[in-house]
Amino acid sequence: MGSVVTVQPYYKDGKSSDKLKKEIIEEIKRVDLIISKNNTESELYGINQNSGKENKISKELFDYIWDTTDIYSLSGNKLSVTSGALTELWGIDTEEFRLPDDSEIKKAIPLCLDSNIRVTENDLKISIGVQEGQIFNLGSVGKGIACDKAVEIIASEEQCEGAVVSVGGSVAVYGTHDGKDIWTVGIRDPYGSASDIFAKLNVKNCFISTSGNYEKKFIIDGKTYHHILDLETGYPVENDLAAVTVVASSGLESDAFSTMCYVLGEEESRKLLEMYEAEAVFIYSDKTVSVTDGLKESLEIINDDYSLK
Amino acid sequence: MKRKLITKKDFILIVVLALVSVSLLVFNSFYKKDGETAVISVDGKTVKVLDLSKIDKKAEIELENGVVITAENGTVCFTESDCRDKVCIGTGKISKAGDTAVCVPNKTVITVIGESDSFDTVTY
Repeated sequence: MGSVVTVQPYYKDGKSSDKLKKEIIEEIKRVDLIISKNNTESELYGINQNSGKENKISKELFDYIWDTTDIYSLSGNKLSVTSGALTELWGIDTEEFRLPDDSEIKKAIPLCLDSNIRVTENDLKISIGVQEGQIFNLGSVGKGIACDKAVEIIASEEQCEGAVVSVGGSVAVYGTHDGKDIWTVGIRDPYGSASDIFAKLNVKNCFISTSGNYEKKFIIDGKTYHHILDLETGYPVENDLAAVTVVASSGLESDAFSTMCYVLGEEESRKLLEMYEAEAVFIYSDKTVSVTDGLKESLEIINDDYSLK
Repeated sequence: MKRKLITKKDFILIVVLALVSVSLLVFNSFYKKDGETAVISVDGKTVKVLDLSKIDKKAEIELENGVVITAENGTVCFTESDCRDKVCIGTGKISKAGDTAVCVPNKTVITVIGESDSFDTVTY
C-alpha cells in the first residue's frame, strides 16, 4: 500500500504487547493483496488485466467496490471506482506525473463511468465485468478500508480498551485510553510542513480522513497540478478548497467522502454528508474554515492564521 | 581623544549577551522536553514516523533516496547522505521537541515532535 501505518493500543492492565500490532499489519497486508491496483499479485490487479471480460470476484472485494460506488454515485460522474483509465493517464497511481493531451483525456473519460459495471450472481458466486480498457481503482478508499480492518481486530481483543490507528493519514479512534473516550486528532496545516497541525478535533469512536491538494502534486510549465481528478472533465479539480477532513462511522466512508467533498465543494457535500450522518471540516485556500454542525464543539483551531467562516 | 577599544558599557553588554546565550542553551537542554516522535519527510511528504521512546536498540533506516537515518536512545540523526556539503550529518543527534535536521539537496527533513498528550494522531 506504500503508506505509513501506526497503531497505538491501550490495555486494561496497562501492559502492552506487540502481538496486536503484528496481527493488524498482517491483516492490512492481506487486504492489500485484494484491493491494490499496482500490486501484480492482487485480486484487483488480476481483474484489471482481464478488463472487458467477466471475472469471478471474491465477496470481500465485491463489497468494497459496491460500498464505494454507492457513495460515489451521489457525485454524478465526478467520482467512480473505475477511475483507472484517467489516473494512469496522469501517472497519479505511480506518482510519475505527466500532462496528457486533451484527446487522450476525452478518450479516457467514458472509461471511468461506473454505470458500465456489470454484475452477475449465480449460486452466491459473483462475476463482475466492465468495458475493455476500464480499470478499477480503489486507491481513494484503500487507507480507510485498512483502518476498518484494524478496528475489527482491536475490537476482538478483549484486553485492549482502545486504540488509535493511522494508515497514511487516514485515522481511526476506538474505545478508551486511560478511561477517557475522547481522542485528540490533529489536522495537518495544508500550508505547513508535514508535522504542522492547524487544528485539533476532539472525537470518540470514529474514522477520520483528509483529502487535500497538497498531498501529491507536480509542476509543468509553471502550472501546479494536484492529484484529485474531476472524472467529468478529466482534469484535477480547481476550486478554492485546500483540504477537506471528514469524520464518519467507517474508514471506507470517511475516505470516500473526503475525496468526494473536495471534488464537489461545500454546498453540495453538506446534503450528502447528512445522508450518511458524516461530518466535515472544509479548509479554504484563504485559510478560512467551515464546519458542519456536528463538529462545531469538537473543532479547536490552534493556528491563528486560520479562522472560522 | 583616544578611544578605548572596549568601553565599560560595551563590556557590560558583552557579559549580558553571553549570559543570555548560555542561559538559553541551558534552558533548551534542561527545559525543552524530550520529543517522543520523529517525523521523516521527503519533499514535504511523510515517509516514516518513528516512536523515539520505543526504540531501545540502534535502528538504521535507509530511505528510497539513499539517505540513512539512525535512531538510538531517544535521539535521531542523519548518518549517510550523498549530498556534497553533509550539513545534515553535521547537525548531529537531535532529540528535543521542535528540533529539526534538514538535508536540503535530498529534500529530507527530520522533525522531532513533542509529547503525545497534545494530540493522539494526525490526519493528512
